[in-house]
Amino acid sequence: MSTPPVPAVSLHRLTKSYVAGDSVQTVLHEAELDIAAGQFVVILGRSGSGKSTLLNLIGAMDRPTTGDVRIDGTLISTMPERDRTLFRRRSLGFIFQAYNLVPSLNVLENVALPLALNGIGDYSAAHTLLDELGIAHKARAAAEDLSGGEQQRVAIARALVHAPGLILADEPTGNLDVDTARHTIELLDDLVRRNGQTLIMATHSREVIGYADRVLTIRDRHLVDC
Amino acid sequence: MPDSIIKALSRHLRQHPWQLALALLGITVGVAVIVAIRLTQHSAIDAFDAATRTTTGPASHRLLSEHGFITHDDIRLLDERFPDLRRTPVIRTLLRLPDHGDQRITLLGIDPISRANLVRSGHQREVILFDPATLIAEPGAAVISIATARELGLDAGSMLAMASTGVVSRLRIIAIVPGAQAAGGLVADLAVVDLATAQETLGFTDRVSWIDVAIDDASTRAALAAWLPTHLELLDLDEQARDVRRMTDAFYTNLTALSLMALLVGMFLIYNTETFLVLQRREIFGRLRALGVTRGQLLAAALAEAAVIGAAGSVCGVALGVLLADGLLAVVATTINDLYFEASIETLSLAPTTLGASFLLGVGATLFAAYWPVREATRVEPNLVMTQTSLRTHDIRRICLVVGGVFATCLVVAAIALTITASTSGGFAAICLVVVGFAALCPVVIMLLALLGRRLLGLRFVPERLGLRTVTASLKRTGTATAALMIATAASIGIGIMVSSFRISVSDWLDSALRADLYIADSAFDNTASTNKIPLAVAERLAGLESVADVSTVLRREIRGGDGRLRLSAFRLTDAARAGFRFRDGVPAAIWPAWESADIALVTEPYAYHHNIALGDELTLHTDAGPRAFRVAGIYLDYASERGGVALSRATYDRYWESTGVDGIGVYRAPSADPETLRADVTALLGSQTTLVVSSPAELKQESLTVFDRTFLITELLRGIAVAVSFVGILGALLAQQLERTREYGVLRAIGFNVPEMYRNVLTQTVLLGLTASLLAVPVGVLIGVILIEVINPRSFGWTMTMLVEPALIVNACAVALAAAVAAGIYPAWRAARIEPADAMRYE
Repeated sequence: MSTPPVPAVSLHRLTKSYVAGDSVQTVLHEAELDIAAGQFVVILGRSGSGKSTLLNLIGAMDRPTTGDVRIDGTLISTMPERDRTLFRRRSLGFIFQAYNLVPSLNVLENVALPLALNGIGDYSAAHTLLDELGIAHKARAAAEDLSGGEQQRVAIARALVHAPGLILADEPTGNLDVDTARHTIELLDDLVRRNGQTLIMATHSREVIGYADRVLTIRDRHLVDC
Repeated sequence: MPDSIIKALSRHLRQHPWQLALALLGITVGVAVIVAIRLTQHSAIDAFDAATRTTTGPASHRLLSEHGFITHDDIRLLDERFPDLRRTPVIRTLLRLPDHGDQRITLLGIDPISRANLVRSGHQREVILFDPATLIAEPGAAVISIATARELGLDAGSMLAMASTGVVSRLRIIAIVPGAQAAGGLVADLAVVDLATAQETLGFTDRVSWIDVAIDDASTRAALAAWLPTHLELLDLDEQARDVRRMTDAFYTNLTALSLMALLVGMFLIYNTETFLVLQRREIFGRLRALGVTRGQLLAAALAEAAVIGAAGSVCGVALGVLLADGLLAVVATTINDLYFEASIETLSLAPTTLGASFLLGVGATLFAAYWPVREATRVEPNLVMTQTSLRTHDIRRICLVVGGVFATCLVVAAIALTITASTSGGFAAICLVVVGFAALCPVVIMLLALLGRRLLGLRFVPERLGLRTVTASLKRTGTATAALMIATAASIGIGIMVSSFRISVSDWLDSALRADLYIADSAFDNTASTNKIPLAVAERLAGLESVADVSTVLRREIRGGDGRLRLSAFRLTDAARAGFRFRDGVPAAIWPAWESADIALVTEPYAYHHNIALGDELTLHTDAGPRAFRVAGIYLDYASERGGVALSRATYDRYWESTGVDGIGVYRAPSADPETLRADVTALLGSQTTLVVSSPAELKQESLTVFDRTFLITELLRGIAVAVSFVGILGALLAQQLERTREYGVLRAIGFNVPEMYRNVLTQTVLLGLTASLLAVPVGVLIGVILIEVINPRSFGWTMTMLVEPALIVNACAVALAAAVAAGIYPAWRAARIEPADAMRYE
């Protein structure tokens, strides 16, 4: 009898509350979730519903109030800060709505940053990704001189360049026009599927649903399948 | 200007109070240093005035004798010729207090009756806070101030012992009056007695120190001047006070220049903060412009805000300056007493004009520093203001060209300022221009060093490489903060070079001048009184000792020269003592053969400078036989007094003046005697009851260098303040940069920068800033040192000195700059490392 595969992401009774003055506000309440490796999961929801909080918890950028977060079977929610940092560095890729490129670095340097952090001196993966994303000609350009769509492609390249198992994207098309947004999602979908990577995307755009293997939503602080 | 514009800008400030505090700090410290220096100057002058008032009362002129005292015969002749002249005799001398260690006190003998009649039109009658009748009637009665009473532990009725030429007299304190700031009060360390008591204490009855007179009209003054016998001189006391002010002016000019340096550093801090405030409110600026607010309205609103900040900072600066001045008063008082005049500087004088001018200077400096970033922001088109993420898109080539232009222009104008003016202002202007020129280079040097650093680091050391990138991208803030640190460090190096060069020159001069094995002087020596001379017989007896090979002597006294009073030294020099003279102009081989026989004089370097005297010039001195011309045969180095003086051989002096003993004796050891034997023989000869003090050259040198170090203590304090201000500048720049880059740091944390890497990233930035400041500070500091030594000191005091650049001084100053920069980075690095990526993402 073979053992079931370890989920890429596993949440157990995950709760996150914030203290605001005298009151405690719970954003997420006892979330339960298993995501298989290689899945494209979309988390739908209105602004302020808790999507970003959930991504931050999965991405080891925030600690849950209670409950567990496991990535590839590793419990990350109780990891010390140092280990969580190393975990993010090696195993995760982030894509943000506001791109969040480092303005003092050019395009290639931004993309190659995770490689450098992981001690990889060979930047060929960065060049390849830039080429695949159609922005190789902008490799030496200042990040802030690029259009929004181009900056988001650079951010995608940066998230994928060190081949992490899990990609977290927070409203990656929120600042893009419809055509650019569609193109960006297609590129991202294509890349993660080719590499067998797991992608969790928080968005309020229903157009993304067509690309997803699974769609979740946060309703009244509870994470549920749509 | 609509209120809404002001509100839009000011509410942002209220939400960022620490930035506001930083701007206020820059102004506060800059203004505080200036206020402190000016207030101590006012206090010193006020103390001098108080001391003068106590000594002279309402007198306008003083009759002095070339002999150092005025006889009763002189007074009788004066009364016969000018029976209606309001005059009062005075005895003033310094005496030792045998019951209080080596402490000395000024004994002021007055005639209360004639002094009460000393009234000048337009002047109030002198207030008297004690009973003059008791002072006259009771032998040995004395009045002192509260401060003196407290210091000596005396009460009314206490006895005070005073020693004069070995005889101890006991005075009874009949009254204790307030300090000199109160009408009728007395300065500290002064005892007022009746004239008869003073004469009895000093052991003579036929003479006084001088006669103070009150003259209201020019005709009486002219008649008195025309009548004066040759040995008497009429001194204008107002003119003398002006002389003292002139002398202290040079001292304070140097301190003021230093305080302006602190303000300059403060201005960089303000510029830095204003730049950041503008950067942060770029979007507000853009939106207001898009809504139709004109550039002028925006500029006016931002400058109004700067004026308010400047006013608040200046008020704080004035308050802090008063506190600082209070702390500095003791240091300045000691220096003033060492160098210029003896006056007890106890109370801080709060001069309203100084406070007002410093306030306006603070507001003006703030407006000037704020104008440039505000102007730049308001000139940008509305859409650019809104969409640009930073003002960092510089055209590097353009920056280099502008910086090169500013640098070259500043140096050229500095060179012109040095050559076309002969004043100290030209020197200070040149220093400012050199500083500004090199400060302009800061951004370029940061870029070059960052580039070099990245090349050296290669592809490894990611946090460091990113740190170097970040600094280059934040030149607007880091550049000015670095310039501030560079200026403070350069000032530290420049002033350090000047002080160490000065110190080594003084030390060398002392080594050269102090050739004897022992020196003897009277502990009650009073340079102005021409009394308390050591009888020549003492020198002759010393010369007769077996352990003594030879003696040299010096007599010092104030005499009249062609253009005012001067300090004359009459030397009897041994060959060794002659070898100790270092001539700037003149040849020893031509001077010494004629030294005793010809009517030649030597003048000190400062005297030659202040009186525009050159080698070969004729100097008129008022001798006992009338005015006489002496040829200047040499100009020699002498750091004893910035006023300088004239030297004659004792033989020449004796040809034209009545001999009156000596003030100092240099004793040269016989080859057969050892130093201990010599000292024992000399001490035994002088006896135990003597007021004469025996010192070795080493002791005299140590004493002189202690006074020197005390003089420059305030300079050290100001240097420390400048470095502290620039430290705050770097700290502020990094904190501001961090605030601006919170999101970026969050991204770095999100993609895997750990805590040590965040530290490395931020500290790399500060090391680069410290390194840039240090590298540029070295040439600027050396240039400041050169200008201070070659231009300002000769122009202020007439002294030349050997320039000494100590590597340790430069290394220390650079190390302090680097340490300040790194220390300023620790807190921002700690904050950067603590950034939670999730929080940073939420930040905007």
